[in-house]
Amino acid sequence: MKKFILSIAAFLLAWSAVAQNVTVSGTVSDENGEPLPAAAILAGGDYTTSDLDGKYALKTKSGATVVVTYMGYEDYSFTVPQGGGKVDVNMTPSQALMLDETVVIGYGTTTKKETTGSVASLKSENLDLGSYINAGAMLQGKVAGLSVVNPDGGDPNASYQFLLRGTNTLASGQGPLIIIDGVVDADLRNINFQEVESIDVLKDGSAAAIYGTRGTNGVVIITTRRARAGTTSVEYDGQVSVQTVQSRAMPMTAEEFEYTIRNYAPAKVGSLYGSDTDWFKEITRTPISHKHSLAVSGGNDLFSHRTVLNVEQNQGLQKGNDASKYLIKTNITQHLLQGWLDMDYNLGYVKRKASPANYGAFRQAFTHNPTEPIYDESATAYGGYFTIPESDYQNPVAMLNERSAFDETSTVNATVRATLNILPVKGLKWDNFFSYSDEKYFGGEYKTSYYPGSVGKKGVAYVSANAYDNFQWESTVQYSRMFGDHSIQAIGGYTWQKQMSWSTNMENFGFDSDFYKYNNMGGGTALKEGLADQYTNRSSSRYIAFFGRVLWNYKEKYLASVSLRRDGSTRFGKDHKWGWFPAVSAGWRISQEDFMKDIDWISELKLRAGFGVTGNQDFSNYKSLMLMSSSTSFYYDGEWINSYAPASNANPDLRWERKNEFNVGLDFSFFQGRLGGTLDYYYRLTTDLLYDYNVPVPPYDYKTLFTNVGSISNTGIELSLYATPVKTRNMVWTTSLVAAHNRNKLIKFTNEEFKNQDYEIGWIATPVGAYVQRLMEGESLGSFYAPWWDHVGADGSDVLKDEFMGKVPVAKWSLIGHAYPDVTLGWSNTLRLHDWTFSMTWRGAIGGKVFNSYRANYESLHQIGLRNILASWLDNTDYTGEIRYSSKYIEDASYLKLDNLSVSYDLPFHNQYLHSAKVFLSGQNLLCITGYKGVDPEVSLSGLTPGIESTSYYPRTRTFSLGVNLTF
Amino acid sequence: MKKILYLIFCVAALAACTNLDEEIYSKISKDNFFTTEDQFVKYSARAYSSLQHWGTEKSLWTFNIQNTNEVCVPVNPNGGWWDDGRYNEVHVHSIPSSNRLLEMAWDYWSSGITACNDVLDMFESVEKDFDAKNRVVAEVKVLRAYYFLCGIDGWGYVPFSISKKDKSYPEKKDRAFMFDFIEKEIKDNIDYLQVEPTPAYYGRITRGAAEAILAKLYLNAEKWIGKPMWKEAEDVCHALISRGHYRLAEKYNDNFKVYNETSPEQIFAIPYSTVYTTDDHHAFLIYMSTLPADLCAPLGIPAKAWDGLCGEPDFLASYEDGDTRKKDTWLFGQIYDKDGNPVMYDENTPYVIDPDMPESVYGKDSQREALQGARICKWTYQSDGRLTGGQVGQENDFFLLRYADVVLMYVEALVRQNRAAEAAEVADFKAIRTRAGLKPFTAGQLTLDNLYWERAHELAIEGWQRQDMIRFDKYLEAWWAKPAKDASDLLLPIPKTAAAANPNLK
Repeated sequence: MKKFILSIAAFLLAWSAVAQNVTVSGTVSDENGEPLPAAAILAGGDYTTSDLDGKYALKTKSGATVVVTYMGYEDYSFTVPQGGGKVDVNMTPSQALMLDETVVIGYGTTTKKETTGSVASLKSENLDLGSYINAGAMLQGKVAGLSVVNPDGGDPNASYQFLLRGTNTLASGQGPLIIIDGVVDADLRNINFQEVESIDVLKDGSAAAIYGTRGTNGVVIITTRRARAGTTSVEYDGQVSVQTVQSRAMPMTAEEFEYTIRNYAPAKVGSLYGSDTDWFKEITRTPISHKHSLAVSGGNDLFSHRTVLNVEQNQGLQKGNDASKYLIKTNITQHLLQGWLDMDYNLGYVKRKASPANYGAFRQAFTHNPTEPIYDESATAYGGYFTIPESDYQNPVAMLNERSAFDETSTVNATVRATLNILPVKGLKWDNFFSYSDEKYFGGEYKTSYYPGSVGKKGVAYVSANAYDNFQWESTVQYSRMFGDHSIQAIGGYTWQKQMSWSTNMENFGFDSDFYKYNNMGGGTALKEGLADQYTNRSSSRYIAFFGRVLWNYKEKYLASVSLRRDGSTRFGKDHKWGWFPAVSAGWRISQEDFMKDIDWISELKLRAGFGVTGNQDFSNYKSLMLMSSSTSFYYDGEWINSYAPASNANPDLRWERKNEFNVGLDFSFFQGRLGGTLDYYYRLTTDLLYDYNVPVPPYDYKTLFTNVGSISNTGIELSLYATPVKTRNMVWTTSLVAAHNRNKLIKFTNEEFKNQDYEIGWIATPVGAYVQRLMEGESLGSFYAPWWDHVGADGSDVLKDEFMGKVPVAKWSLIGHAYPDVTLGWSNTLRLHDWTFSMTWRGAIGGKVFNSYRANYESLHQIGLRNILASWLDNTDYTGEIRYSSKYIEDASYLKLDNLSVSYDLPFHNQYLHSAKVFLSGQNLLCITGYKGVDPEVSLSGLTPGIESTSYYPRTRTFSLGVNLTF
Repeated sequence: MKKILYLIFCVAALAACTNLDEEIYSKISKDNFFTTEDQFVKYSARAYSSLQHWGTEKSLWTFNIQNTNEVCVPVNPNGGWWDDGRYNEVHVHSIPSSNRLLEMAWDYWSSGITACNDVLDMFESVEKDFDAKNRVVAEVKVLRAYYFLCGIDGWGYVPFSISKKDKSYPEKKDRAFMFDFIEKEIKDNIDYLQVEPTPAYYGRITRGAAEAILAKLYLNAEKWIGKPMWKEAEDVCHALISRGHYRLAEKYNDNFKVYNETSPEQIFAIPYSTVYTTDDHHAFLIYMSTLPADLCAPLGIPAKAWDGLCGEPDFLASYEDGDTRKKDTWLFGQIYDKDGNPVMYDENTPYVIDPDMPESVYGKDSQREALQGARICKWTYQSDGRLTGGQVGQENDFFLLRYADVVLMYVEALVRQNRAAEAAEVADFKAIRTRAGLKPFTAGQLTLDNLYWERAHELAIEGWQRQDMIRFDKYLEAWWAKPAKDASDLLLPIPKTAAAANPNLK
């Protein structure tokens, strides 16, 4: 300890000794010796730029480290000589494909050139500028084979759905494992998207197998900006954004509605009420959001820190729908005991507040009669809102005005990483990581005595509270060393994780006044009368794993990786708790071979192949156990008692879903990195698929049993291309294209025990009244079945092919298509012109089908009357028949979207205090080119029934943001 | 010593590091549950609570009443209740195996059997003896016999499963096999059952309930297994009647009013409550299925009811003049609010429901008018404000078996044995007629046809009409909106979902 204090003292002394001002000057030039003007020259807090001739002069301290940066060039750093003097700087162009770039691979890092698995690695500069509700959105269109969808459009509380390399499960979760700064199963909403430094996506089985049971859907590893040595710097990021409606379901206007009724449905003139109300307009607004982030960082080689404060206020399109976030996060790194001990501390607190949207209001606004007035003073029983008492028919304005709701979530996350460097053995260290996160949720909702649908209940209040704990301990021993031409990086470890959740919900109604809202739950009468309910639930699960991995390479030419994980989870049956998850992969850097040395234009050529086994355990706890829960009540011996029943059909044999994946890939880079890319082919096979299979009652208690039957495969090709087509001193254009194709196939769905299984899924309620998809062996998931639509008959009704007696039997329906697209595309561009940067990102999908729910439900003259229908009916007034489910409603889902268009400008003025200043303007979700007639062809592709557009939706919005970034 | 302690610590730590037993909080495992006698007895409640499904919107009961000439479901003026034809299919006897109502009707008794098996297995597996064990086991076995009877009644075949432990596909057994099983099961257990129907045994299988179920079995023996067993039916009804534990309620409506549990007529009741039985699968919701939304407020029900089930016009017309049961069963004519004032439909039109409807209102592309179609009011609407919204059930208990039914079965058994004169003199039979404001039948009037209608009117919409129509050879005839059918119509199709889950049912 004494030594430690002494070393600190010595360091401080040395630091003050060098603190004398000197001048360093010289010329900054490019690889051809041409001068580079306006290069940034930075030494701690001292700052200057080169002039038009590339000349610079910087007053700073001798011994200080100077960093010279220039767009498109590698950073150049040097130490100020004693007494200052002349230092000329010769910059080298940066390579678009940086071979030495760090790649995070889970429990460690490697370099791009040494990677043997399929890993997509994104740095912050690859991500688009703009306003995001969370960091997941930034991955849209950036990684080949990873689809990121937001089915809830402009809702500031929406979440993104991820799907990597197709659907590999039937009943378990499909989202990838999210790891943020080492915390497994972390929440993307709890970080500030502007703080993301890198995102690494482990795609194939050989890369993800180190995460065993939770690796099937891929692993997304996010690293946020860390503490670094350097003088104190303060950064401010601020942005303000507005949204406008980009796409929504269009009902008839009052004028169209009246025209249609008078001309085509005169029997329904009773439904004309004489007003002209645009219900959508009544419940929406132009949302304005702003975000601010302030980061303070600094420190020295022994102690550094970074603290971020982040405030966001986001408005939703729907009136009253808001979301805000307050975040404080500190990262501290410390090097102790003369290199023996490295410490890394994180402490974060996030408070998220929201007023959740009322999704039903958008659908009610669509179906609500546009000739009805909003208010009716005489309707005192309904609070003065114009009301027609019909089931599922509610005044949208009353739905918003007479409801209030809030959500508050606070999360505390603390992590400590202690790395003991065992100095006597070079390359050996013992790393321990502890993480604890504690999330508390509290929410309330109140529907007043005039809320449509609960009139007569005298105010309905709901309160819910949840708590969620996640504790994780990871202990690893790592060893990395070069032995001559052989490089070894080995790791062995143990991890223990416990997750605990607790929830409580209560409801009450019968309040004397609407004043209390959700703040006086005891004030209602219903609970006392036995008409309201309360629930609590608590559950916990644990994961335990032992794992090991060895990375080896010879002369960075022949590469190999072998890993093995022994994974255990409480969720499985008594005799199936543990599973083995091995992986092996190898790489051959052909470009390093002697025979390739003469081929100048090839900078990198690497062939990779890998095989890995992963599992999936993303389903609820206690499925294997025979447990009893209190069921309905029964009148017994003169009193009502609880009855008890099995909670579900217990399955003591519940075991792992197992995914085997083979991946072969080629990494290439030509012309000094001006053109590069990656090509991957994969075959994934999931066996022992979990699903709720039909079982007979009796002998089973319930109709389905959650068990392991069947297998599913996904085969695909992924291509990523990076290029720098233009690169001059003043202009750099980089472009990247990702494309992926995946074929999903449900191979088997039966076994000895479970045969004769026939599953129709995707029920669309009346008036459609049909299961639109089927689970069929040999077919893809999301296979749409329907009778083929033929033409509109003379009587105005749809005529279907092969109709007999007015019906096409379900058995004779045809396969119309699959929900998944054939090809997904993403195209990103960045153009740098002097201090200006323009970027543009397109994203698209080719092929795939989508079920147009709005047309199927509301594009029929039969539905008009009390309720409104789609304005598009007026395009085809010959069709006057009833809705008949047919291929007509299953449309092509191909689209091309302009996701992002932005421009940023580096302000040329900077000085000692202001190091850099940047402003940007960006537009997101600007354009969607598609033949689809519904709201948005990009619908949820997750789950068992992908490709069905929901009628309960949030409109899509365009976002325009203006932002500023200042570094002091 | 220190070393040993250290070793123990290490082993314990290692065990904790690999322990994957689940921690349970909000449910309970079998080992923690069956610790007291009370818990054992209460576990049998699970077998009974399956009965509560009877009163929901889609159940064996609502299936049966729509499948007969009692109830029809035309599309309402708002276009509701077509639902891909599922209600229509049940009424016109063109039921595909994928029909949702058919599936729910099947589920009522098949999940009941499962529940009984579960309770019996549990009693067997936990070796603990207590006083009431024999009686509780007997109750559950007879209850299971009732569920099996529901199965052979409708479908003719049932999947035969009497233990949860055997998870292989249950075999499909026919009526002949099941008839013997049900008869033996009831006879073997009847002596263990409670004899006197004291309030403590309300809602449970007692000796009276077992006898009434056995009577149903014998009464239908001719149709089900081709062997008339009228004498056996007579004897078992007689045994129940002569014991004198049951008698007719003073008023017909005493059996159906909101608080009807005190009726001396009930033999086997499904108790319902606005507090304890309120969810979709366990509530008595007939008011929601039948009432128009705009009549709820005048009748004192703060809800938007669904306006579906109507009385079939010909059934309404079949009542004799003066039969008070018609008004006690159906809501039609001028409607009065809960305070007795006439209700107006709009400013100029009084709310007068016409029970007559032409057959042309039936079908996909047509709909009835708002004031057409009698509604079910047999179970008195609860106007105390407890019915608030769609999902709260009525308080009225449902009598699955009641004394008047047994009396009528007894009379029928006599008539079938050509003892009409004797039957006409049965005092309680006469009382049933006079209670309804009608004259008792003379021996000459006591034809099978008259007896059929007497059962139909007395037990209207109580769920037995389907079985009765078959027994009286009325089921295959044409009636309102329903064409005549051949004998293949006598058995219901096995639901697609059940057949998909069990290849033996194909």
